[in-house]
Amino acid sequence: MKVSLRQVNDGISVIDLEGDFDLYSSPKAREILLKLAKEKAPAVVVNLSKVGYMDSSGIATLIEALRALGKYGGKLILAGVNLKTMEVIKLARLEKIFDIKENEEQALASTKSQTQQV
Amino acid sequence: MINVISALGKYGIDWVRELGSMGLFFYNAFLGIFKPPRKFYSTIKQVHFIGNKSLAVVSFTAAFSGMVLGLQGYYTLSKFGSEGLLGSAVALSLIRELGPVLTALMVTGRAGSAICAEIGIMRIEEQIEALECMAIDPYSYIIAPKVLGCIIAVPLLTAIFDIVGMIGGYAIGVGLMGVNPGAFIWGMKNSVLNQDVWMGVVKSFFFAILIIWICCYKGFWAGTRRGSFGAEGVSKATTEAVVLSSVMVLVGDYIVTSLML
Amino acid sequence: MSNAEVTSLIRVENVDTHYDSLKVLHNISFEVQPRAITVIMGVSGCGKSTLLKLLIGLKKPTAGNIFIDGKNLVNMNRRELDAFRKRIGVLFQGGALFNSMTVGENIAVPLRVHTKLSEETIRIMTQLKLEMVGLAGFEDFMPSQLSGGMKKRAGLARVLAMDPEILFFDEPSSGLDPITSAGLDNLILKLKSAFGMTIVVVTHELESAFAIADQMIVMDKGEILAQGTPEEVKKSTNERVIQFLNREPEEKYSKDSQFLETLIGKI
Repeated sequence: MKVSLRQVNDGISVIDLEGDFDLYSSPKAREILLKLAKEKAPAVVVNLSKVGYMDSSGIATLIEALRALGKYGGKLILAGVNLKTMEVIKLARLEKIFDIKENEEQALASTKSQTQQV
Repeated sequence: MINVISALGKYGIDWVRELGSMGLFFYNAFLGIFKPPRKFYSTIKQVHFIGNKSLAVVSFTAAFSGMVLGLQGYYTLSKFGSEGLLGSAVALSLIRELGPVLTALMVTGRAGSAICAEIGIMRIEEQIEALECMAIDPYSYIIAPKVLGCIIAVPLLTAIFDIVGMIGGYAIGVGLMGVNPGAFIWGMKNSVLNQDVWMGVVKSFFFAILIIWICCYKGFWAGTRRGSFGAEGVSKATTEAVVLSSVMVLVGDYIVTSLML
Repeated sequence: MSNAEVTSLIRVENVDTHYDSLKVLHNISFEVQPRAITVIMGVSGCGKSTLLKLLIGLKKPTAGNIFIDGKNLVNMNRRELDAFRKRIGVLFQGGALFNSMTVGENIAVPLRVHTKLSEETIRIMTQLKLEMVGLAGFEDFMPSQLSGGMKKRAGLARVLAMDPEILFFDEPSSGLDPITSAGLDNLILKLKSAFGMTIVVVTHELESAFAIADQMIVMDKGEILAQGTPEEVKKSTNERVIQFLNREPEEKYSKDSQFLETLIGKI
């Protein structure tokens, strides 16, 4: 799985994942997510639109990231979740825990409105 | 008459088949040592299980063995007026023979039987098949740590046996029978040579391999041969393992002794 | 995970097998469809457990082929067999949990051996799997502290740890009361519908079989008597199949004269 990180305005980080988010590739994503949490990034958008398959190790990685970011009030937003991945999230009853948006634009828009409120 | 011959023949064939099966097991277990997963912690756990748990039995047996050696040795040597040699007699007997052999027998009874039963239960509960179906090699995951643990623990236990035994022999020889302490210790220091210690070390390693090989093998195939399934198979396997290990230790003792003398 | 055009995931062709010289399976042929539940059933001793062993590679057939995704299981080398086994999960009767580890440690075994996932990730995954099988909060229990039904669920959680594509169940209902058994059946159905898993169940429990099967294979004395959808199997005209489905015991009583003769001797 290809993992790439880019910075967008207001210090929001977007992680683009491409390929299968599974047992063998999740450590890569985990490393970057935890590094961002350590640096106290205000918000991280995980772009899953190019992820074909995500298994429970992927979910576990996202849960860990959510917790790590949440410790200091950081936000984790999932963007571009396809149907199959959505089913997996729903089965683990996590659709209410994750902040899920249709695509990257909506995700970034939601962070803007939050920073404006502050 | 034909029945007797055919029964003997069957016995012979079964025995050869068993030997081959054991050889194959040894080969797989040996390979398993070098295959992943990493075994450091599981090996340490096994050293604890075999070594720590046998420590009390070994020390206790060693003390009394040493004490008996002191008594019998004094009795025999005093017939020739050679009581002063008691130290040598006790030390050499322990280091060359009694230490390795008795330690091996105690470990067989204490840890060997427990390991055989543990693996046997795993077999009848299909845990070994479960490992294979998870693409985990049972020889590497279960057997190899036990082999390594035994090879580390048994020689160490043998050394402890030797020391405790010599203390016991000293206590009886000097404390009870009145042998000169200086003579006792001098005898020990002088007559025990490098080759004696080597013999003890080689024997303890050899016995360690024998014990763990037989006990793991019997447990691994418990309950899968005709006539003994389920829990009865485990009990049968454990008995066979202890008996065979004990016998082979004594046979092996003769072989190593004659080769190294 | 690709969406290749698969017609059948597992194809068994003309398989025979023996235990020493005794032939226990005769000319077995069938296909397992992907994302469906196939139930292999029959009375005890009909050969279904042996067939399961063949499908997971624990035993080799003496004749015939077993194709997994086009590759012949019979000819696979160690590496290919390992790769196959990482894609499947097998739940043995009783769960086959390792007695010296907690439930959580049991579930983590395949993850610790095969992957480089962090401890925290493994911990979260363990909790996810336990939740899935209805055993949330039991990760620190030892197997000896669990009931039979719970042991099976814990064993299932371990089987699911690596998110397998194909699941095999060996007599899942054995030793369970009807309610727990029904709960397990529902779980199996959920695994198929939500995860699209291909599931093969070996059982002799009729009720469970009809509750979950998309495809049924009825066996007796090492042969397949009937196969097809549950409706098709119910319509079978084979006498032994009808007996099995109606739970009629086999007529094993000897003729009166024979019986009396063995008791008293020739009159």
